[in-house]
Amino acid sequence: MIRTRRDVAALTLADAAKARTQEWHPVLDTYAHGVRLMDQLGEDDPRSWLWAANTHGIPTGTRPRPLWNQCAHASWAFLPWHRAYLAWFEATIRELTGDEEWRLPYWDYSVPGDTADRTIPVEFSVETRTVDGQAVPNPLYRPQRSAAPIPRDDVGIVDAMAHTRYVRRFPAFGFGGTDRVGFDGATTVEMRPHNFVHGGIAGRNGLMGSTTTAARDPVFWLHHANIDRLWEVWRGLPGSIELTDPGGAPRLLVVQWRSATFAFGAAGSPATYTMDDVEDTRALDYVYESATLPDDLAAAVEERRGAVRAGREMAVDDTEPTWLPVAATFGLTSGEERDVPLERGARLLPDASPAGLLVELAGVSAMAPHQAYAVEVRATPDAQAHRAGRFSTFGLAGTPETEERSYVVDLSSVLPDLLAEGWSGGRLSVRVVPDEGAADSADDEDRSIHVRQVTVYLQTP
Amino acid sequence: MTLDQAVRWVRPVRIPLPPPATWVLAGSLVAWVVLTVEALAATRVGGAAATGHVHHHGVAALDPWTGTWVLGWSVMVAAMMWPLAVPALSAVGRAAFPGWRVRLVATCLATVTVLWLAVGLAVASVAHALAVPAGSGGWQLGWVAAAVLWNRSAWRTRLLWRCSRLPAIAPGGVRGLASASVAGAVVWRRCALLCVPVMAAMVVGHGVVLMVGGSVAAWWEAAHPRAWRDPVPVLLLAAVGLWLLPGVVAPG
Repeated sequence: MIRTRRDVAALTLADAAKARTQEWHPVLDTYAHGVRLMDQLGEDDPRSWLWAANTHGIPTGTRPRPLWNQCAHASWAFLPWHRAYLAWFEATIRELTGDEEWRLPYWDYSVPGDTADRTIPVEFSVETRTVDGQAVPNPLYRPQRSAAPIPRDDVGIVDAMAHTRYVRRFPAFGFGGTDRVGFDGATTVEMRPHNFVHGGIAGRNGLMGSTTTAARDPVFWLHHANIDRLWEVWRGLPGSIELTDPGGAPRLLVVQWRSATFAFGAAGSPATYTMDDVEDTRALDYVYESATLPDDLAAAVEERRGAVRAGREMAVDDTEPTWLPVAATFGLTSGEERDVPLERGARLLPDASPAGLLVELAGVSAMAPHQAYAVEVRATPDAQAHRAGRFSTFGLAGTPETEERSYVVDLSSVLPDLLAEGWSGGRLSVRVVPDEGAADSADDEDRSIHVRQVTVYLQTP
Repeated sequence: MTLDQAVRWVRPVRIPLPPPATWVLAGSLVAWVVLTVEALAATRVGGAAATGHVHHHGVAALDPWTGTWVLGWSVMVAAMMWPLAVPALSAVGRAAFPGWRVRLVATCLATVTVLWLAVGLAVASVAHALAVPAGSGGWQLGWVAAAVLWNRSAWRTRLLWRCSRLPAIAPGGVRGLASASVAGAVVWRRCALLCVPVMAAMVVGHGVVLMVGGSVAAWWEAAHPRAWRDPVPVLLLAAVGLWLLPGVVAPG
């Protein structure tokens, strides 16, 4: 029975007072009812709220189970795993509520120019609601969320949608990831909007700020329904090359993709979803109310894609790397400026200028990081700083001290400025700084991150 | 150095140096040829160890501290385990400065090989202490059975989902060599999760059927890391167990 996942904007009462006293749209009412029923089940029940949340991640000290703590961040499986995860969760709500037609709504926060759409729907932010004339606790409410709209820059989707490939050759990224085995960094759509929205909702201490607790927040599921929808939007864009398309990825990666099966619930009798199930939402009995971009976003994506096509489009299965490491430094703490000398070499080839500049921050660890950072580079220590490459630290907070993440930030946008200032190689000054304008960027406490290794890559023409 | 010089330097010189995957797989292929020839030769002279049907009455106890055993084990590691290391070796190669690429990849591969040699010697020493005869079918069958059970473990499955994350690879220098070694250890850990029981079975002798069955099962799993309860590797291992069974229940 194929049903439609609807935009929560069309379902919400959009007024907190009304949300406390008036009847909710049946989709949201069933969701609240289902969350309450899941919450009433014991932790040992695979249909319980905690089981569902722990399947994504578990707080430190939680006794693990085989199919808990399996969120597939920082890999090509990010999108398909979460699609299966949502389908399993949706089925649990349907089973408990008896509403076979219920489908998870999505929260489209990327609608241009509308502040309301970047603020959590009121049904999730009121502490009580009215059921049968009685004020009752709202199962969708969670304390400590940020009440502010998510910053516009944090919900941008043009950068992600502009990628024509699902995966690209490391250190470059496609829409859904990179081809490198064992890379532990966020991919394009996973970084923005996904990671940034997590941070924006969480504020300073909200559940959404950590992979270990995020799925305990009912708004998590609407956020991920939107990320899932964006995958459908990307697939529908002309020129998008999926991982399984000819030339879309190395053969081994295609085999790994095709054979993936996602399992949830009790290890002895899990619900399983094959990649064939996951690739077609109709096989999971749903479609999205809208899987196209608004006109202005579509135009922006088309413009960016045109620019990409005019530049060097890199084949994933090309045996010759295009990005190559030219410099590295080690043990950098945020706020600290470091001059990185470019590696000396002796091979001379015809004149050429670099076509792109990337910095990989590998082995990043932190106790209580800011939500987002950016990278500053200078041609010389006394030259003007150019800031680019924002990244969200979602996934670091709340995890064990030994947990590390990696980030690849594209500084190609400031390369023309560096060259115009006479940057001729030799050295590049690099500094990682808290992102300006974020809610926590001015905190006094030590919220630094430590970067095990910084690697500078140049793209050869 | 100037930026233009840097760009010239990083732009790959088109020299016929194959990527790591090619020469590592070629090395593995050579190892397979050597092992197959050795097995065929052993069969011709009546050595049942080559086929896995081993009669352990009157056979000398295993002695791993000989050049023959170490060489045979190392060749087997190259045959079976090197292909599993190829994706990580490619990642190491791409993370390295061009001038350091071969050294870092070789360091990573050497770490994998040395760790397997160390584990092989350790397990073989235990077998020696227990007076397990060389080519013992019972020892091999026991470990193959353990491999089947291990293969069905949900914990093992989730470990395989998560254990392939490589550390930061420094692009050159001593740090580069050190990080390539750590990457090799990560690769080895994953290989060990995949097939340590099968490898343990082979410390007493690597018959062709056991080696091929174990290898294909491990390679299959490496190519299908997210398959849940995949029957293929289990069936392969079960077939190997059935092949070994007659030599155990009806020795002599």
